[in-house]
Amino acid sequence: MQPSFLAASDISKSFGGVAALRNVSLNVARGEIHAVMGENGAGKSTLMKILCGVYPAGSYEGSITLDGRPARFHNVREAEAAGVVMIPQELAVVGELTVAENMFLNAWPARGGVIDWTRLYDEARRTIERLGIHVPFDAPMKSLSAAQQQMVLIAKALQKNVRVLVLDEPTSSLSAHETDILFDRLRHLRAAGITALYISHKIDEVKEITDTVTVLRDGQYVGTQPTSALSGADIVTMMVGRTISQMYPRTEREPGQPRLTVRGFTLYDPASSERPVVRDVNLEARAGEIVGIYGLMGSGRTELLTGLFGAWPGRWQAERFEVSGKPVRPTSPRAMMARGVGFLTEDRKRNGMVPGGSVAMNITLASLARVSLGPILNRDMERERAQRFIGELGVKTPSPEAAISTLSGGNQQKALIGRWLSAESMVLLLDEPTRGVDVGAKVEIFQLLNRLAAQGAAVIFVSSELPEVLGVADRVVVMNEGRIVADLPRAEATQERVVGHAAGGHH
Amino acid sequence: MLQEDTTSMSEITAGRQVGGFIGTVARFNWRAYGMIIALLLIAVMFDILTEGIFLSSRNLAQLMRQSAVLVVVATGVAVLIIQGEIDLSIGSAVYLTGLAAAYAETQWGFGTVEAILFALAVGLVIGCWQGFWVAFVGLPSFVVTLAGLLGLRGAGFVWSNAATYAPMNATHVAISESFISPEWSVVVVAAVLALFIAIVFWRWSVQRRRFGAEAMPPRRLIKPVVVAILGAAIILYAALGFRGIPMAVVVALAVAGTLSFVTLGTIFGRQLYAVGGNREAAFLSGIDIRRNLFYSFLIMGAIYAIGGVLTTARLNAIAPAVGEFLELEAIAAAVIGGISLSGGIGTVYGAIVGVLLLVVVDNGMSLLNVNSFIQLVVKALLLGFAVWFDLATRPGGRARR
Ligand SMILES: Nc1ncnc2c1ncn2[C@@H]1O[C@H](COP(=O)(O)OP(=O)(O)OP(=O)(O)O)[C@@H](O)[C@H]1O
Ligand SMILES: [Mg+2]
Repeated sequence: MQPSFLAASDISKSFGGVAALRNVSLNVARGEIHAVMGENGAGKSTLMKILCGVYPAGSYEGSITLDGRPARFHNVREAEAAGVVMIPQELAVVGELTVAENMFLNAWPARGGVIDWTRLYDEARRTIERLGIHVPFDAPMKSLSAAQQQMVLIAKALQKNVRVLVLDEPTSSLSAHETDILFDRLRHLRAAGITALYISHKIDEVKEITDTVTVLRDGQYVGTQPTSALSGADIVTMMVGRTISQMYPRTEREPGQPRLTVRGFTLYDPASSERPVVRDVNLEARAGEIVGIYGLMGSGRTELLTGLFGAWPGRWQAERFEVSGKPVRPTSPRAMMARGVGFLTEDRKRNGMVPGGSVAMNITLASLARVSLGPILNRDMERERAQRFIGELGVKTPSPEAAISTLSGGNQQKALIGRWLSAESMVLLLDEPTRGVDVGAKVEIFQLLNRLAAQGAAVIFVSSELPEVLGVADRVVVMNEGRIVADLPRAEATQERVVGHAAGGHH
Repeated sequence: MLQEDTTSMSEITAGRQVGGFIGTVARFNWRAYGMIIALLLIAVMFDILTEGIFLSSRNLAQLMRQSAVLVVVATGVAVLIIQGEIDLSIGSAVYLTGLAAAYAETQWGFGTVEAILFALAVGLVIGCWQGFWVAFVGLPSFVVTLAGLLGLRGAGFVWSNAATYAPMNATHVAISESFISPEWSVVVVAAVLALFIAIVFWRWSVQRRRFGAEAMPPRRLIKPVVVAILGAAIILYAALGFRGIPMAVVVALAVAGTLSFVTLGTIFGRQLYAVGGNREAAFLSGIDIRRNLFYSFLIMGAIYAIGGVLTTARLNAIAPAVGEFLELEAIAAAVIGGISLSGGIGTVYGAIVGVLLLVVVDNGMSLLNVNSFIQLVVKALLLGFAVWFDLATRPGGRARR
């Protein structure tokens, strides 16, 4: 075995008495793409943050060597200087500044305190070209897609003579096509001798791009294997400690009364009230039905759900809009919630979590009346109710009163699903409900959706993962350019047909 | 409401499974106690420097009376700051409501009750007006209340020709300046303290039964009980050595108690925290942000009136400079007390501690005859230090704004 390029040994880290990592070791060879896998809360992000200096030397036990030399980083800058750069899951960019400016954030080339714009743009161009991507480097950062922004951050890392690139769930908000581009670039970088650490819950991706897999479970090291020696099922077994027989559980149900019916539903761009972003949608979801919406990024999926929940900021229009047979005007989330509609958003950081609040506070936020006597909150009822959904969803938290921001990403997501379970919504609109959730928990979430449907709820969920949509949904609705281009019963929803429709082809 | 504030959320994560002394230290919530400890240390320091004058009953009673108006407006503005809004008009609005009461009493011969109701009406109209522009038109509260800061004082000057009106009705003055007799003070404080501790214990034992002994260790009782006893002891000490509990303190505590219940114990209050913490998430959880904001400005309207009535009672007059810079002191107190200006973090209790810190420093330096210019600089340093301390001890650290 060749000596490790990056070696972490016996790393332990706890947060105020709660152990997040216990004697974990990680050995990474030079120039490989090394996957770090494990369930939600296993300690992956914590380990990466230690490697990248986010948690400074001294705040954890154990030692790290990089290229044979001890690495004790006290902050992110020191780690970057040594060539270890993290692309965090929540991209840190300044949307108003240009791409080139973002690439030099805090380190703008300057002459006597005045920014040297020529050099800045020249160097930005050179680095972007080196990565072989096409990004307008003088456009504002916010005009870029998530994938492009990520590329820019990688380009920024390259500029700093990166030796180890750490990617924490980089594809969780990328489309399949964008993921391909990312992988292409990663291979390119691997060929150039750059080492990468890669965290993901998507087994297929890990099999495709990585050379080696290290698995953590409950903050402990489970094992390291060459990827080629492992099947997807092997990885899952290593992660969860048992085999999962059925990835997409389904129960047979008879659809009942329509829960949500819309006809001719159109949403207009808030910026220009003539341009529709969702056009003439007809959609129905019945009690007991799970409807999967599939479409490429930008096909109007999120906009449609936002509109159905009454949260669309622009103009809208509908010929018919009924919840449980009664006409409704989708004018506000409040109005829709009063009819039993709930909406789990795609981006938990931006519009899901209340970061300063506890887990219990976040779970009960949309159902405060259920934990109150009149206008007065009852903390005991709140705690009990939160505990119920923490149990039901297997949210890993030291207590309902722990701050939600201290939970791992996947557990935050589960808590937010709990918010809508607590609201007892009969029409559940879920935008990428399994984002960042581990395989085992995904299965549990699907089982839960089945159970809710069996109890008479209508579930409409959006997912970019086709197998998930095909595996779980009773009906698959395909969107393209703001329209519903296909509405297929389960039996007719094959991968080819769905992908064909989503890409705009006509079948 | 009684025994939990938002800081207790972090207490749980801190220091589980760690035994012995280290565990005790780790469990100790520096964030919650830090300011109170600082307050006590500063008080002792002033007492030594002033050779016992500072902590004399007389001075403490004086100090509490001085704090009353600031406690009222600081806890009031906390309601807005928690949801990420601000009110810069407090000083001018307090002046205008005070003027309303004083004008009614001195020029129109109103009785005290009628004058107070009139001041309350003026306060509510101001609250409505500002609330309308912020909540329903959507202008930033900073801008609307900045206009209020200028406009309301201007309106008062136009009305009164910038004149001073005095004296107030005797019964009006009594609202701030009278005392609960020392005997009754003992009775009242003992009764309130006993009731408070009984409720704390009762709630604790109910929760212990519901959630198990492990989730509700006895140390959860320490903070509320210690703070309550300490507070009662200080109030009694000041009251017994002087003339009893000043009425102004009663009013201030009533306002602060009500607002802490509203913010921590009601759906409305919970929603304010959610809006301050993540506005979009709150909206998408069905919270009516505008309505809450409008109600908050109505609360502020009542706060203006209470502030105006207390101030005129204390001064036995209204003068054109009344309330100047009051909004800034209120905001400073809230921030010193750990309320984040970006919203979602901090409690009304914190604002009270912030007020006490400001007033203690003010009073102590005055007793020491510190040059008033230097006093301003010291207060500024206090503000900076408090905010630094708060950020440094906050879980998640400096990353947050
Ligand atoms: N700042 C913190 N304070 C307290 N506990 C924390 C903190 N950060 C992480 N933890 C805890 O450490 C454990 C590991 O978290 P980590 O984020 O590393 O998990 P993860 O493997 O990345 O999970 P996911 O797949 O959900 O992202 C979790 O139990 C989490 O609650
Ligand atoms: Mg993570």
